[in-house]
Amino acid sequence: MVLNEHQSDALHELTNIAVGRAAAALSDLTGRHVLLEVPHTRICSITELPVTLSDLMSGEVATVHQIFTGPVAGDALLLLSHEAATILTKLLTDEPISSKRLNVSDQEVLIEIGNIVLNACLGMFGNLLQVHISFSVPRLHLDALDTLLDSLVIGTEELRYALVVSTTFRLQDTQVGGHLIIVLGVASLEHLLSEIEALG
Amino acid sequence: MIDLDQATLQWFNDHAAQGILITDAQLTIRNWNQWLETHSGRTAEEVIGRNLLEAYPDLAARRLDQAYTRALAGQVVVLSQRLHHYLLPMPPANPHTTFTHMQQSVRIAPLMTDERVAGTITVIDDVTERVEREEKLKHQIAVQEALQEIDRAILTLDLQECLQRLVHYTSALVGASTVAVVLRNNGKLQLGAYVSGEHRQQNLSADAERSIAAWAIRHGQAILIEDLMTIENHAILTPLDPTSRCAIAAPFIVEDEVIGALVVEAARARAFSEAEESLVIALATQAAIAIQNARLFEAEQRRREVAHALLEITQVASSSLELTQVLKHIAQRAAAICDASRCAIFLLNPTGERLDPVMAQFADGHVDSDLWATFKTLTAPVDAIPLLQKAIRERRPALFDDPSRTDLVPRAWSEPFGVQKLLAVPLISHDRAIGVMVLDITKSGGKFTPDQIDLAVTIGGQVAASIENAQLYSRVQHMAITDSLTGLYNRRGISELGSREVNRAHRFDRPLAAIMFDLDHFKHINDTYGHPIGDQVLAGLAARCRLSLRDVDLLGRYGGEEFAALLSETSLSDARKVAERLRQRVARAPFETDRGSMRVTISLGVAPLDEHCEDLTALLKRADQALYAAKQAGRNQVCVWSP
Repeated sequence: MVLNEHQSDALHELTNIAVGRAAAALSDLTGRHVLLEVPHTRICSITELPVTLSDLMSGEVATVHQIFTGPVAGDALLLLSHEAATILTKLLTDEPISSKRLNVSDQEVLIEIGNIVLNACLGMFGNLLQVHISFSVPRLHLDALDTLLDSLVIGTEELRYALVVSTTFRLQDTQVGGHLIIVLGVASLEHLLSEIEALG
Repeated sequence: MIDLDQATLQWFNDHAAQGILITDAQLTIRNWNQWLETHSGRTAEEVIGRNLLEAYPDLAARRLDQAYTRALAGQVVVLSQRLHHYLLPMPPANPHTTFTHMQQSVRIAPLMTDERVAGTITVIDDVTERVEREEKLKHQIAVQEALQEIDRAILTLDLQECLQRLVHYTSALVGASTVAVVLRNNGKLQLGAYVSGEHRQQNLSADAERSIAAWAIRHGQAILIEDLMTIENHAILTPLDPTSRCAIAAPFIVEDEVIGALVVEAARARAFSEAEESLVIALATQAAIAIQNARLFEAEQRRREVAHALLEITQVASSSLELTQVLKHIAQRAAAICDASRCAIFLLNPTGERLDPVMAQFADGHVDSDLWATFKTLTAPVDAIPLLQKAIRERRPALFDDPSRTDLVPRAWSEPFGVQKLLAVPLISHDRAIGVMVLDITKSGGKFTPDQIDLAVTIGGQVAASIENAQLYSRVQHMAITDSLTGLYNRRGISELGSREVNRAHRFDRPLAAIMFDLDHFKHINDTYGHPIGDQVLAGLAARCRLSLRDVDLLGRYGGEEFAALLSETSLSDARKVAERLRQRVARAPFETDRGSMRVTISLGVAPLDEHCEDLTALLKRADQALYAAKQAGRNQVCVWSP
């Protein structure tokens, strides 16, 4: 599936608005000025996702994962390199960055941040489609990238697509990159795209 | 109204190890489980039916009502302990924890009925112990990192850097407003390093001896004062920062010697407990090793520098440089390694009554004509400079450390330069004082340490040896037996070697003859063409004569334009022939000079050695008489001595 220019622009604009809200929520939560930018949005089939992601990052990753159900269903993930996850957590909580380890409390912070970002994006889509989406409790996976991708690819028989939104967190003169990935069935995605097109 | 499965609720209420709170869409509390009753101190009866935000107004004050707004909008909300600490204020389950509130990790989810949000469920986990474990672990890691950093500082071996890192890490780990390293140096307390939030001070206050640091150093043990206001004898335990209320001091102990203390202070009473005290002790123990290592290293480096300087001085002293160069070099090095400003050397005159300045140098080697101009005027009877006299008389270093004692050192010396300290080291050679080396310090606060005084004495010995060597050398030079202009023996060479020839001829009764000869009208050449031309003629003459004689014959310049030759194994008649050959060779060809060819002649006197002629002097006297006769007879001829 290839997006036409109009769809692509509209999708990009929507995600920008969504992460903007997430950034506002994060700033509010942590008392720090947090900016979130979306330099890039793309859509690929689930089978292409491993290649797309391995171009973007490698090694140990931290993923906040939420399953959403309802008229539109799928998986939502905030994917960060382990290093990015560490830096982001420490910056948002004023902890010194010396330790590379994420303890359980650090992991909880990451879950809370991920939850806010994912909710903002999916909430936006829900509003757009005027459907109610239910979320699972978010979970954090600290795995190698491959393991995560396997868990996404294996599963349903339905043709699925991934919306990959590259994001940049900016705070305290530091930039931390991450990726929002929303995995949808083809039907959900077409539904979403037609609504996006209708906006224009 | 929410429809909840009664059996599930019952289980939640009786057995769940978490707090489970259920509200309806208006946030009216509908369920409050046993766990919540136990920990919040509020019974289900008290809270059920009340609005959550009214029952806990604290929630809205901390803007956590937003979490419920989001949940009612259908979102699952996670509240992490790190960012929120707790949802519902409750005392910690374990009263001995450092937290005032139970630390909570919370999830809030919407409860859905027919795709509508009918209420919320909140699950609260008590994570106090976990957080405490994490904090403890983090602290331990930080302590380990700090100790490693100090270890690394030990490896870098720069004392100041060690101390800076120590106060930096101590401040970060203990959370103190003031951290100081106090060191004991020659019995006095000095501030080694200092960090402080507001006050920056470079020096310890005057009553440092009564400070908590002094106590720890004196007793060799750590001390923790939780509240300085409550201790009885406040005066003997003052903090470094007058505004501090709580303090810890731990001594640095190296091989049973207390070399200083680490002091941490906080403005708040009871800011520290035994935990901080043991941490400060651990840091102080580590730091003591670092300080000792750094000091040993500095001392070792200093020793090496001194050894190197002494070696250099020895090399210079035994080099072929002339004495002035040697002394100049040594004086500068001596001033530099003894941390003095300048070094001057005075020598006793041969009668031992007067001191003559021979050298004055700055430590950095820069040249200042004023310096020497001042010293040059200091030539004086020994007793005019009492300090130097003292050093010479007592044969040990004399120290001048009171600039006002103008009776010890002349004003001309001390005043223009603002001399603060002065050290006079006698120069002893073969058990005899030959002079004195003087080092002075012109910057205020400088002083000579016992080590530096020892060093100055060692260098003084080297200076004395150099002077001795140089004087010996010049004596050898003086006694040297060659004439530098002609390359022939000089008068001394003729005397020494000629005497041996005369003795040998007498002993073995062998013939020996002497020829004295002289350049005719040499005064005229000098007056007309100048001495350099005269010298060139003399050199040419010498070379030509040398070629006319056998190798075994002695030929020397006896003085001025007068030459002497001793011909061993030669009879008078043979000597006469040799003399005639010399005369002809000189007269036959001119000598090349810078002023053109010059024709000269010589007059010669020949005399034999016989039993009436006792020594060389007598023999040469006879030859000289014959030479006189040749001159009288009209020059350019040979005369033979006759009794």
